Amino acid sequence: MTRDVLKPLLMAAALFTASVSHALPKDGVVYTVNYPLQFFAEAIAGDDLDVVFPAPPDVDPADWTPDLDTLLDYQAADLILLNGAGYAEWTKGVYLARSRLLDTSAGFKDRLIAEESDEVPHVHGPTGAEVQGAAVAFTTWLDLSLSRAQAEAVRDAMVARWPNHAAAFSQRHAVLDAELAMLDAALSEALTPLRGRHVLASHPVYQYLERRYGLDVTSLHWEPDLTPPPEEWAALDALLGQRAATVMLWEGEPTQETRAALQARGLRIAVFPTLSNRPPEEDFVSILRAAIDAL
Amino acid sequence: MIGAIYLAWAHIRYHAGRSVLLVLIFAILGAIPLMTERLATLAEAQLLERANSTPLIFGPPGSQLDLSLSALFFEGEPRAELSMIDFATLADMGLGTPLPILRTHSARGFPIVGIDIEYLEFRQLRISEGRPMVRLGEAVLGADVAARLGLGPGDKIQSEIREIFELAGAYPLRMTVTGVLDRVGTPDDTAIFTGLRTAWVVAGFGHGHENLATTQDESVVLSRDEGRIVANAKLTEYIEITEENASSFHSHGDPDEFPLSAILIDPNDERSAAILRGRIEDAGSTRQVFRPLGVVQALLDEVFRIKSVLNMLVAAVTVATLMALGMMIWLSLKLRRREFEISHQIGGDRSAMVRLVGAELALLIGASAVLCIALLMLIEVFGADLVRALLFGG
Repeated sequence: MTRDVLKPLLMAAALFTASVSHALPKDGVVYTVNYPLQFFAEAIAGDDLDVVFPAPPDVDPADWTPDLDTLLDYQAADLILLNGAGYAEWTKGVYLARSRLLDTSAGFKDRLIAEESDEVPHVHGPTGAEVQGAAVAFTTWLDLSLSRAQAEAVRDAMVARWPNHAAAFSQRHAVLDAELAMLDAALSEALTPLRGRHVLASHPVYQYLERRYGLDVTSLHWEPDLTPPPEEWAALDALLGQRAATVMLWEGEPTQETRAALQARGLRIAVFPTLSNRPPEEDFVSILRAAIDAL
Repeated sequence: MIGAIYLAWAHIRYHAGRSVLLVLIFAILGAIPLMTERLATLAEAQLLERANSTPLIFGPPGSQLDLSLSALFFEGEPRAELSMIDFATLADMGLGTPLPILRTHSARGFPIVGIDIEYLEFRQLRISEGRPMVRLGEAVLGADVAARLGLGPGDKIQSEIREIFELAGAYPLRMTVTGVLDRVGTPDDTAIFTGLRTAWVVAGFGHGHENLATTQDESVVLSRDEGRIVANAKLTEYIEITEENASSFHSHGDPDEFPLSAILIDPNDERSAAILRGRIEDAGSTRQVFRPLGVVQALLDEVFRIKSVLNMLVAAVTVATLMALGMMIWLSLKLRRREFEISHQIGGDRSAMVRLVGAELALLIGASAVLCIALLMLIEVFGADLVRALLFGG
């Protein structure tokens, strides 16, 4: 009887507490340019700050450009977390307060991976200067040691901006860091059988994963939701003829036809999402853990 | 006494022209020193307020006064001897918020000032109409710029080419006005603010043009090989940044070396300001950081030294004028001797004559005092705006 009375009371109290805590004004607003940074920021900020990643769920945040209202929201944010490495080009053409911008990869610029660009550089006049800034691979967070460095940069920026929450931020960061370290170790272990072996990738997005975990990746330009045309298959066959591979990394689940055709060629499909945008369900850690388990 | 006042008033009315002249002379003699003093105080307050609201200025070595006038009042020849490396150095110190300023070209007679968006917050500049600049090619106008040019959000304003044959190759840039700032009574009212990147485009450090890799017009290409395309001078640059061509805008050279005119610093606290000054001074003589308040105060001290000489001249002129007035009154009394004698002969005593003259003078001086107070009240009401207009061209 007592239990029957207490249970609804406790539930009501919990609901009230939750609603009050939800309604409490946060100390600041943090905007991010991709989902991994949103995840790190939320994990560190807890309920103390509002963390916003405003990209629609169906876009690639690397190529997305916010509309005017969203740009004004970014401009008004207390802290704007950039991925760096040339990610989210739109940030170069808009006016955001420099002192509130944090390039989370600034601390490891020397570890960024340069990419070959198809673009031919131009100059004005024979002695003109070239446009600077080589193309750089930007999915830095797929090297979990770099993810940890980015999360650390986020913590430092938050502590500097909101020193009254320093202890809580540091405490939560420690939990996140431990989780990322575990994922790093687990991923390293899962990829050990593939170390030094030739692996295919559906897109050139696994550069940091390749370097960190010692893979030898050849990237194609295949979309998960499209079955490649015959000439792409011919090119793949030619590639496999030169260098055998047994695994192909995919950002998303390929079509049934693609899967069957790849399996027929002896390729195992490993879906390893880049997590640039927020997943419809679960989170950064659980999805990576699942991907590692699948590996 | 009433009779004396009545007679004095009748006399004043009878000699209306002379009386008005005397009232004006007395009023001007009284008002000029008081008005100039008040205007000088207002000017001093406004100049010091601007300097006081700017804790530190960072700049190249040279005249601190020139740098203060440029960074605070947007006056003097635009110079850009700092670069983004300086900004990065200050930002890395973490001792305050560096606020870069690039004074470059002008548009329709008003200075174009490249800023970081935080400058608006630092100066507490609110948007009265429209929105802040957000994208490349956008600008916000000071209140007086908007009022005088009749521009508002959605209008365009084009930068002027500084020299007819500008060797840096800067094309004019047509900027889109996105907002108008509230009037604040400072030089910000007479400036056109845009982001640093737009200011660099205006200054010729960035541009947009057709894609040389895909162009159909080979006449704009000097040479082309696998590694590099060399464009010639025929290549036309865009003079307006639109949604369609915005992505084609780019800069050549090292962005770290792009120019700045000055950097205002909002230090975290007094201690940070002291540490920052110490570090810059220790670093050598290639850069300087200083409090503009001291520089503007020194300038005002010089001005007030000259003003004290002027005050002495005004005092001498006042004394001379008062002596001339005394002479005029004495001559006037001499002319009225017959009038006083008749008054005495018909029974009026001598003190009545004194009262009559005294009442007349009191009425004239009273009227002058009223006029003087009215002038001072006008200065009190409009003086601040007048000084602003004189100082900052509003």
